[in-house]
Amino acid sequence: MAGPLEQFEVKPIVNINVGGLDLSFTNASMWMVLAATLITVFLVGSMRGRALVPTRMQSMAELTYELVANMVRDNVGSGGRPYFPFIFTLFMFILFGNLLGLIPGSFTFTSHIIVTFVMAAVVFVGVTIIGIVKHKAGFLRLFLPQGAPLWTSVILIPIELMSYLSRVFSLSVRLFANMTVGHLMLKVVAGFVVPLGIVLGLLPLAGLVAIYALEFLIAVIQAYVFAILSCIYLHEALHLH
Amino acid sequence: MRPDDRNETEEGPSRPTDFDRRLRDAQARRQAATKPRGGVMSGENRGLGLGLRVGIDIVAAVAVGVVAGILLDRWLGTAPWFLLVFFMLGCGAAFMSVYRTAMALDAARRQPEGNDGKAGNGDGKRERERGGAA
Repeated sequence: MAGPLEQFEVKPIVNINVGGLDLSFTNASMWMVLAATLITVFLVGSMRGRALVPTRMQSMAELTYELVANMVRDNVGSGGRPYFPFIFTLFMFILFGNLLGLIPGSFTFTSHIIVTFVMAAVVFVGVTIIGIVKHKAGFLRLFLPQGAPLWTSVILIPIELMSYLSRVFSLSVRLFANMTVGHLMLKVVAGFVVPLGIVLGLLPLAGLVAIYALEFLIAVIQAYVFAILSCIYLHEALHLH
Repeated sequence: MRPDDRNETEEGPSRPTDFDRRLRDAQARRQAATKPRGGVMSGENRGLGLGLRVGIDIVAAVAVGVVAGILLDRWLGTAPWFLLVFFMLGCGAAFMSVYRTAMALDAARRQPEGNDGKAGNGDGKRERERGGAA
């Protein structure tokens, strides 16, 4: 029987080696390409009709659009419109990655810290650059709390800097940990079903169904949380507190 | 019997004030019906979600401090000193993040409900609370 950790193994499908760099097309790459393809098919295909009274697929596509559009408007404000495409892409990619990972036997690329870290780092670096471009040196005011006496800034600035830096980790670890723990739990509980036999095995099986439902909820919520926190950070860079 | 096709009551034509009142009532009813759009983030789930989010914020801030301290120590060979200082700073940063989250939540609570007319007022402070579910 496969161990609970085997589902996280990255296996090369097509070996590509460029100048000593391992650029193989792995199962992780395959599921990312699949997610991107499915998102494109879902959005382009369902909006083909452009009906005034939407079909089921069209209203699903409109629902995701409106969810993210409202999120950007409520959390970033009116200045957030230009960043909507990025937030929407981020949200859809994470959402499809999480949901595709729930297909038995598939690979969850959001359960790898490097994937979530890169996404969080793009948000972090992008938000910092936007803040610096918009406010120039005034961006540094973000690290000096308003109303505090000047002498306390010796302690407060390093603390603020550290809390700013730690965001990139909390953002990536949150998504990674939720996905990894959920899939581990599923695999471990599933491992009990067959060895316990027909009667006792029903217990973990029932638990498995419940955990699966919970995992669906978490898959959607984590995508939402990642996007909304990106919005909050963006708001802070645009408006400085 | 008089046919009721001229929008008149027994006392004569309906007065505009009456119409205004009925319009206001209808609008209030409609707003009340469409108001709760908290979605999956509202309800009892919020407390747990907020707890988890704040927990990860604390761990991340302290971890960043400790790792930065260890790396600086290894680089400069000043055994425990940078680790101690950065551990303290990490704890401070953790407190700061939690404090800020709590203040945003408090501000969101304090803001009276029902001023949706201002459409988000470009501030988003009220909506930050929604980020509370993790």
